[in-house]
Amino acid sequence: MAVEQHREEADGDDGFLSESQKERLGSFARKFRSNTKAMVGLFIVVSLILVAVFAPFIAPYEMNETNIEDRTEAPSVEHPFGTDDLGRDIFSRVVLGSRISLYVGFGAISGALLVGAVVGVVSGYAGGLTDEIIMRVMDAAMAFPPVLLALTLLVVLGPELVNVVIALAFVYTPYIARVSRSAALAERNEAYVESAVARGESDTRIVFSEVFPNCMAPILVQGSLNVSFAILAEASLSFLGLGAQPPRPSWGLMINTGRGFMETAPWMLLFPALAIGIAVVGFNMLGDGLRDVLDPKVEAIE
Amino acid sequence: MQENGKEVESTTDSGSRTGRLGRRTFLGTAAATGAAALAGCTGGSGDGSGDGDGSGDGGSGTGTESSGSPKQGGTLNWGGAVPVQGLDPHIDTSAASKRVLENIYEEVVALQDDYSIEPHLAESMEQSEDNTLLTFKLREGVTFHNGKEMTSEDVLATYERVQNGDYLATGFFDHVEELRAPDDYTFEIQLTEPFAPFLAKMATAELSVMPAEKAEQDMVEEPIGTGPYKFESREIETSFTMVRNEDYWGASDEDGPFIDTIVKSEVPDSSVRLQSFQAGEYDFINGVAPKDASTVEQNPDARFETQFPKSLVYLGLNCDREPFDNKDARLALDYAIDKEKVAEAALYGTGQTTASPAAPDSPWVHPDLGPRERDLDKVQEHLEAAGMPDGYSATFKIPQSYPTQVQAAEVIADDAAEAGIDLEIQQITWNSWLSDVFTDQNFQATTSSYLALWYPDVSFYKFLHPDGAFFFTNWVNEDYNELVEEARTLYDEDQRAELYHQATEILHEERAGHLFLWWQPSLYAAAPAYKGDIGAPDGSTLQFADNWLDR
Repeated sequence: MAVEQHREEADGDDGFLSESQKERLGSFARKFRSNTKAMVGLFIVVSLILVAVFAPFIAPYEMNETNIEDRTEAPSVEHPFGTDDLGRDIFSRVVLGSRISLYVGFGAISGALLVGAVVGVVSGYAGGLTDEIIMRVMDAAMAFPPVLLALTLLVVLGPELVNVVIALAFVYTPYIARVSRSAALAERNEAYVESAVARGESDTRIVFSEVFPNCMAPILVQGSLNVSFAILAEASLSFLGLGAQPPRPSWGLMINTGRGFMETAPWMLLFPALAIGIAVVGFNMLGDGLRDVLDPKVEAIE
Repeated sequence: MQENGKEVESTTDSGSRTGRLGRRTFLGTAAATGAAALAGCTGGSGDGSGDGDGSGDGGSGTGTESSGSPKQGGTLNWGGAVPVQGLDPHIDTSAASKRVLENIYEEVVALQDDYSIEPHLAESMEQSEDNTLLTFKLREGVTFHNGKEMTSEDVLATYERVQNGDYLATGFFDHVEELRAPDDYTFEIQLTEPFAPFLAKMATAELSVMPAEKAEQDMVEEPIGTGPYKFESREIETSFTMVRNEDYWGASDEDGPFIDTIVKSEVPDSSVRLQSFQAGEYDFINGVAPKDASTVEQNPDARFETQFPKSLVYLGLNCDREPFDNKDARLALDYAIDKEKVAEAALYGTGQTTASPAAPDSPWVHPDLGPRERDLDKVQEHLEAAGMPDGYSATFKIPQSYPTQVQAAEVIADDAAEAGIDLEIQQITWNSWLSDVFTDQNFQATTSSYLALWYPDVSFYKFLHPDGAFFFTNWVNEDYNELVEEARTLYDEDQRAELYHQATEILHEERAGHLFLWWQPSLYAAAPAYKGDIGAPDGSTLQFADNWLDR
């Protein structure tokens, strides 16, 4: 969303935004561009998305094609990342594996955002008993370590990629809800809400058209940070055999197999691990950068 | 059966004893030819890199007798692959338990290296003319670990326990009319009809002799036997300790037991196990992963030992469920898989493909029948005959604790996909394999393995006859059942072999629910100071009595 706004701003005047909105966007873009962390994060994330989209064109080999004669070959011109224990090209698999990571990362966090943001904002705005009940349920869900909870869910749902998305969406919902709630809590006492109430607007309208847009900043920051956690969680679950199933080129699964070849073919472990590292760092930096840019306190110091 | 049922190969110095020298040298040669044949099959690309198993060195371990006579004492640190499970030999099915119990318990008769069966706790045995009366003269002066002497009363109590309870061998007692102990050292078994597998069953842990008072308990928690080693202590999933039995009836300067204490540490992860061994933490590890075989072999500070065959790995197809209830669908899959490639992928040249469930080189193996070659035209033919010209899809449940089977499954799925058959791999835990696949038969395709197939009744009856204890792929064929039932009543090797050959043909033609993938060896690594033959005649367990430490 932030990216989109950024682009619209760059397109210039399209008469769609009011002057004050344009001004705010302009200041956002300026700050974003001058924030190295945010820009590096954005660069990594955009590159990842491009790799995932064009993966079949980038990968030189069929990712699941086994070729026993060429097993565990060291990186070479032919196989830039080497080959694995079944003679598959690791470069092709790492490239195609980006689709799994992004699918799970974005899929799970979109789900968590959809549910968590609504629940959180409503809860924060409503206050009282509703807030109390919703938040205690979320606290209970957060009491379990994320990977452990996802693991339990997957044992019930069965080890499939779509179930990984569902399980992780469930796990990260309370994190989003919590941030959304505190944002809504702060907004609730603002003058614009009071005037909306005075104008006689319905609660639903106030929540979704007045409060919600003003809570977007912290929710987005939390969302992009959680994408990196979800990517890491998918790798962990696949590593444990409950996520993506072979022969899918999930980075976590590749690391699990590679672990057994640490001494004889370290590249089986190295490249998927690097890929996970880069993806996680990318989303983390983007999230961190966004926070710096969007945080009003930082602005005050400036 | 006599020739190379079991081979113990050695590449560095192993203190093999003179008694077995002749056979070992012979086996070395046999192994070399076997390896050559295998390399010939897989070397289709012409780069010939598949010879890394080096089994041709089989004879080299035989010249080290000069390294001295066995020494008494010491502690053997063993890094074990699978944690010891239950300690009741009559009920526990796990090979991990058998590997230790084999040294604690003994049986009335024992399996030999050439797969023949000789009296063990008995001095002699006799079979009546019509093969229905078995008479055993028991050894005098054999004592249990609790100090009590073993008499026919204990043997009788052991056998009655299994007969009247619900143990692994209980089904075999349907063929027993009466068990008798006429005097302290005589034990008799009256069979209702000739039943050849009974004697072989007596040589397994399923009929290990225990003291009468232990036999009266439903479950044995603390094993007491007559064997060369005594149970000392155990920490579940951590370690298992045995100590030398000072009063072992069979003790000698040549055959041991020599080592004072054997400590098995449970190290389930094969990489961790190998690394700890290389760091000197263990004198001996079992379950070396096939992918690491060449690393160990090239290590000058390690003995690399293999025991072949250990187990048969198969692709299990549920013949009660779509699509594999259709014979042509099964045949299509059979033709889609390149078995040599699959075996090479998983075993790095240490295995051997087969079309028969009988132990390689035994007389029960059909001499002219091999695995089907990959043939995509035939796949299409059978898919059309099955009414699925566009192929089919099925889930493929693989126990994730067996990395070789996961590797194989990926190659199988790749081969099958090319032929239009979509096998969707699902990794499951060993526990869910046992409950979901084996007990509930809730599966389409799976992989698993058999152990202890040195006597043909296990291979042909236990897994493939509807009354067999391990039957689960639901393939039923009346002609086949009659053949293997009749084979049980025959004692003549040629006559029996003929029936088993016919049975194998049916398995092959009907594409039974077990699609055999390969025979694989047990792989061991040991410190050079660890002397003696590693392993046991059954190919999967371990006997430590004649092993010793040179330090």
